Amino acid sequence: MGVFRYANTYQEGIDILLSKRRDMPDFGKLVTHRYKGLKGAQEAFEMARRTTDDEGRLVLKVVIEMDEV
Amino acid sequence: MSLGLVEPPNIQMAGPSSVQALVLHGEKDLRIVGPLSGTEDSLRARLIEKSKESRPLPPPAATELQIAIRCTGLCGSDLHYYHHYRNGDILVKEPLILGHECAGVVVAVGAEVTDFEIGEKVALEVGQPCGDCDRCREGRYNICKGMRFRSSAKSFPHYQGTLQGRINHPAAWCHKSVFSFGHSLSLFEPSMLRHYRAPRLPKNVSLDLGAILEPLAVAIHAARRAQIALNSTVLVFGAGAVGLLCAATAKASGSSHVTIADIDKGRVSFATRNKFAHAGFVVPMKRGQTIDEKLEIAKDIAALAARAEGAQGEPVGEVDLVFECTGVESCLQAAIYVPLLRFLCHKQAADHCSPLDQVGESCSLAWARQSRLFLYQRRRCGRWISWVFSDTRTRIRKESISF
Repeated sequence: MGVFRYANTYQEGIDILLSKRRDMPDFGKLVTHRYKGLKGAQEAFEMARRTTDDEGRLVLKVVIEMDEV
Repeated sequence: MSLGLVEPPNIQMAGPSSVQALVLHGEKDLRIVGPLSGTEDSLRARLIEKSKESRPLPPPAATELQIAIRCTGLCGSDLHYYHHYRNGDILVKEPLILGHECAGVVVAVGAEVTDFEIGEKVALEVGQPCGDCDRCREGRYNICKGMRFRSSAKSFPHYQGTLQGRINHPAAWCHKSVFSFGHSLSLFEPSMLRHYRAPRLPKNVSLDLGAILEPLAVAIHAARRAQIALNSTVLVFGAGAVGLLCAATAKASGSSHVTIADIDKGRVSFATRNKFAHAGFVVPMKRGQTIDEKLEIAKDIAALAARAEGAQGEPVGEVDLVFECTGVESCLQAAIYVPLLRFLCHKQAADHCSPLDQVGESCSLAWARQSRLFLYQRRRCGRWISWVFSDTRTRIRKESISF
């Protein structure tokens, strides 16, 4: 059996993210690097391929945050 | 128009507007197009599109929302496109906007959408299946042949990604309950589209979580297909985002002990310290030249896994399931050895099996015919593909053709 992407999983994902179980992780910690706006994108893409940044911190999930509308 | 724009409340009546977008034109050739603020215009010439390309955005259709994208996570496939202007055998055929792990805020509502309001936070499911084929009808829309997926160059014209200011997206694929308890919507619950109302949103919830929801969905799908049993033991190779999410999902699915492995000590430590996995171990970096060398390395890694300490300091020993989330040959080979520790005869048989360095379906199927349930996940064309095998030939034959 193979698995490709996902189907009908978002509700379960929401439940997991909001889980109050004390043995579950804080998923927000996966986001290790944030870049502001599309102007930061090139830097974000370069960081995303690394495993640690210049300060030696882990690189897990890099996100690009857009300006307030 | 500047970035700090404020949408008029009756945008449905407005004509097309232009949005800022990050467009990939070639390897590492990212260009910002569309309206620019004054400071960006002059200072970042490398990123600024010279051809005055614009990205017009019409008002949302009747069943769509217009979303101001606020957070997009970068995925492995985005990186493939960025560095190679292709993703495996999928070639980019026209300028492509990347990004698909995203969340945003509703800025305009289509005429027939009644359950969303301007200002609500939503996480986007960015794959658009046809909704009409056999796969869609059985609820497996992920393998719909007509699937259009934002930021993927598989379909043409490409369905553009979320690294842009605003997009129009079908309301049925916007999930808002990540920010509040309640139901989410799916393609197959059209009635909910009309009747569902979510509670108001807590103000302190980060949109990061909405972006995490997409890679988490991948892990959940893999866990479902693996049929993780209550109190089963799981080993995860790879402590990157996907491995960590697979580990956490295995825990959430009832696994009583999840061990995670990576070549990076920091990642293993992160996983165990932050409750993504119960235990972990560091895989030594070794590369074999011959098949025999490679298999020896794989066996060593498998032995390391068996010796890894469990929650009470006892060795993990045998595991029920292995998630291979590295795409690295030695880990994939080790993932084949680990669950077979329980089946010595199979291990012996494996020594006479076809070369494991050509890991693929046929080889793994040969193994899987003799194991009870086996899953590995690997990167193919930048996407994660998992294979689960159970003990009957019928099942294997049937399931091996699906994705």
